[in-house]
Amino acid sequence: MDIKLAAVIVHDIKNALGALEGALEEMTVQPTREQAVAAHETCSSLREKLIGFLTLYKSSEQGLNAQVEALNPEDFLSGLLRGRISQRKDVRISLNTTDMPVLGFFDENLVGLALEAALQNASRFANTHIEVACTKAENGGLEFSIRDDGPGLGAKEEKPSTGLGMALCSAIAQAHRKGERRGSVSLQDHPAGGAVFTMRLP
Amino acid sequence: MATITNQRLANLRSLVVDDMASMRQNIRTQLGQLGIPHVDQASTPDEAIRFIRNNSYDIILCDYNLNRETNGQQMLEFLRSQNILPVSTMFIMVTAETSYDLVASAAEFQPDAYMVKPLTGGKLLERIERLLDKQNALRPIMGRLNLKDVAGAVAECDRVLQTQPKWAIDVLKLKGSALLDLGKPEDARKAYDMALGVRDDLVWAKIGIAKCHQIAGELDKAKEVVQEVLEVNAKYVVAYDLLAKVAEAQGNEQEALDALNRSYEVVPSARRSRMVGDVAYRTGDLEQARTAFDRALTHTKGSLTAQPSDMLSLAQVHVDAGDAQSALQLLSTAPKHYAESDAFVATQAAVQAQAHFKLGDFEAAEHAYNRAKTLTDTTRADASALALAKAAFTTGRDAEGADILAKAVRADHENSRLVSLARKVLKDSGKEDMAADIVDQALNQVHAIVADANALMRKAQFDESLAKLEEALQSMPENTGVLLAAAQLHLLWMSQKGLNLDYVARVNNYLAKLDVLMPGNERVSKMYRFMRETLSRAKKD
Repeated sequence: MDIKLAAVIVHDIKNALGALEGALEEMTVQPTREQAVAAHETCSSLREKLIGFLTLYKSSEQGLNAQVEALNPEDFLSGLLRGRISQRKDVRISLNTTDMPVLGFFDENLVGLALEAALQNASRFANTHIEVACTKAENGGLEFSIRDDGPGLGAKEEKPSTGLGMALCSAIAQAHRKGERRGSVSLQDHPAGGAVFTMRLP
Repeated sequence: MATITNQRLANLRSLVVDDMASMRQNIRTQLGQLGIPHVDQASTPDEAIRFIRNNSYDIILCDYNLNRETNGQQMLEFLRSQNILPVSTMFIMVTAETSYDLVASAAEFQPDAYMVKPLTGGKLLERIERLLDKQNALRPIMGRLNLKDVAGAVAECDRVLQTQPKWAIDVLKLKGSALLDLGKPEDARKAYDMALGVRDDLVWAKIGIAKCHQIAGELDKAKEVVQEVLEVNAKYVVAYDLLAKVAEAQGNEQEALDALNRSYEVVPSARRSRMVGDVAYRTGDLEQARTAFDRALTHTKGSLTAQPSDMLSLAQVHVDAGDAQSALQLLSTAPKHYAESDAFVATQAAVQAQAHFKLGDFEAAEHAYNRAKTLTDTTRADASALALAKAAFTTGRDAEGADILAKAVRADHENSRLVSLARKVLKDSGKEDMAADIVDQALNQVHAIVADANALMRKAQFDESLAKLEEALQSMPENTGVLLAAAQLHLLWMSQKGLNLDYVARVNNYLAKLDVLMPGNERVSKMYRFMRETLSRAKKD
């Protein structure tokens, strides 16, 4: 694993932990429910980051092997969205079921982790809406996509991202192999505005 | 997280297995918040096994890392291979994020789901609901299978395929294996081909096709398919088992042993080591048999997963290898509760008799032999009968040995493993020349009884035919071949002459015995179907 990337991620996690520490310190005086909820959310997003980091580390050290199973993408995606703790209450996430196949073959634990990271990323940029979809790819595989209605690529951020999310998604996509083919990810501007993240699995 | 009330979850009984009290408590709280009030907790595999034996659970959440001796996967293997876990129980294996794919890729016994830590209420709810949906969708099929109505299960598979396409892959897997059970390789092949049409790299479907070849007697083709699978998926242990079976059927015992050894490298479990030991012993490779049984013993030492037969097998290997002292030493370490089983004590005494005799302690040998003889049920074809026969030959009681061996072969003449072990007893005792007199003659006797009964049936001497088999069952009550023939001829009688309630009871009794003697056997399934068909026709008439 790239040592620079590792350092950036650990630094990022350290900062988030510092913010959590501050919030908790404030709560020791006179805790409110809102503060507790916010601290819980920070904590859960930190944990997601750490899992992502560990998974990426494992992928570079030992390689990742997807445990592919037959799944119904709609069940999987609605479960993922339902169990999610969102830090942006003002952003609505919808599931586009158009052309969604009845069966898909993928590792639900790994793909769940990747899509969670991609959703976190999208919710940083989205204005009001994120759309999640899954369609059949031309060569018979699957294509998951997450589209936001934000400013698109190249938008200036106050706090630039570490790149952990994309690196993780790419490692997880590549862990899906079928014959000679491997999965891939991309992040592009959508012609109708906003950015779209795509994960293609063989 | 807010408390979710869900009627479906409120009645679920669950068990959490984790060595860390804080993790158990955490999961228990999460389950409680989901509205699952009944949560038992176990901290060790042994405790979990006791809970599972004494209660019935809808969900078991088991951590992979349990203790040094047994991990979650080994516990699942024990539960499944001993048929302790009902099919309706959802078993969820919880692993750390870093070990999940390693655990899952080499798992022989699949849990219903793997979940990666940390578990949150939301994730648990989502997964449990999805598993409940699947259970509901497959219920009609599983219901038929529970009733041994395999043909009915196939019909249900077709129905569920139409109405619930999202479970198509699971259904095709069940359908293929049901058709294999019914001995219909051509139809099974269609189910597997259909699954491969959806996704062409499904390993179980390819192995299914290899099994179709095996059943159809196309052993070379079966082997070819298995080898193709192993080239791409060297960790798919089930493939090695099939390879070993095919090799053994082709008389290639060394190849069978190699295949099982490779499977042990993938899943180094007590069960796999035992399989290696059994084949190594049968093929006369005492060194390998010793290592394998020793490993099986060490793996399970002090645990509920320990199997008394491992100790007996290893002791017999020691005696055969000329190390009688080690055999006696080993047998003296048997846990106290093993003595509650007559079969164990009988075999133990039979091996001790051989060992004492070889060490020149004839008095102790005499004493042990008599104890073994008192406790061995010679109407059964099991390990203790074979060990007793061996002890008889070792201690110079040739006539007695011959008698015990002949009875054992007659007790289950279609069991090819038993017959080959019986021949081995003679070979090891230097009595190979007696094989024709003892083994072949015993085989012929039983074949003749079944043939006579069939002939009487063809001549429409129904009652004489049935009496012949009933009489044979008096002296060999657990002979699977005779039991099957008896069931078949009683059913034939009823299909000619109409319903007879005594005969229905008899057939039920035969089939219940067969279920215990050869669980999951395709010929037994067929007989169940024959019974249902006969009874429903008789009712209409």
